[in-house]
Amino acid sequence: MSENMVKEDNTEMKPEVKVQTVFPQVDILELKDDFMVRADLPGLEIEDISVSLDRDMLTVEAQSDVEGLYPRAFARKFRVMRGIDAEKIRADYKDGVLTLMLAKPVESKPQRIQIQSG
Amino acid sequence: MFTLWSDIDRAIFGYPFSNLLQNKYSAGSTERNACFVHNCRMNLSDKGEYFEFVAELPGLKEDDLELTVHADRLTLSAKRNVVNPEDATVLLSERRNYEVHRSVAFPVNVDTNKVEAKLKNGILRVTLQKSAENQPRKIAIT
Repeated sequence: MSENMVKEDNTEMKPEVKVQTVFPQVDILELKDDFMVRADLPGLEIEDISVSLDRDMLTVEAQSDVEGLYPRAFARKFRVMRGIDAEKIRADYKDGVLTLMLAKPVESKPQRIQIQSG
Repeated sequence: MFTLWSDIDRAIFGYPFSNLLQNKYSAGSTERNACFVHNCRMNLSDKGEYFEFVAELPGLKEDDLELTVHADRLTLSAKRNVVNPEDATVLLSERRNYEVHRSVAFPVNVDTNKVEAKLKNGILRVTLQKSAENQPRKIAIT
C-alpha cells in the first residue's frame, strides 16, 4: 500500500461547540447594611456558578448546559465600592435566580474623629 | 436530536396581540415595572415516543405558571412578579415583570393523559407521550 493513501483519522478531532456568552439580567438594590445583586441564571446548580471579587471588581460567571436547550455561558462584571469583604459575600440560588448580599464596609458609615489637643 | 421550531405562537400571540396586552397592562398601571409580554427561550424536541418541551423561566414558581395541553398543542401562560425588599433603594432594575403567552403545535397528536411537567431552577420541562397510534414501531426484518 502506498504511504500517500488517504486515510481517515478522527482521533484528534473534536467538534467545536460554539457557546454563546450572554449578560444575565441583573437587579442591584441598596439595603441598610448590604448591597443586593440578583441575576437571572436559569438551569444551573449553585456549584456551577463562580463568584469572585478582585479588589473592586465583582465577577459572576456560569456555564449553562440544560438538556434540550442550546448551551450558553453567562458572564458579568461589576465595579463595587472599595472595602467590600469577599469573605462576607453571601450567595443564594433559588428558582434560577442568584442573589448575592454584599455587606457594606464599616468605614463607609460616618465615624466620629476624636481631636486631640497638644 | 430532532428539534422542531414552531412559529404558530408568533402567528397567534405575535406582534399585534402582544402589543394589545402590553397596552392593557401598562395603561392605568402606576407600577414602575409594568408588565410586558416576553418570548421566553424554549425548545420542543421529538424524542421518538414522546415530545420534550423545555422553557427558561427564571424566578418563577409553580403557581405562576399555567399549562394547557390539547392533543395537537401545548399552551404556556406565565406571569413573573419581581418583589423587592421594602426598604430597598433600586440602583439597577433589569429583571422585569413579564407575562409569557406561548403555544407550540405538535406534528402528531399526543396523549393528553400522559403529560408530566417539572419546574426546577427556573427551567420548565414537560414530557408529552405521543398517542398510541403515533408511537414508533420497530419492524422485524425477515
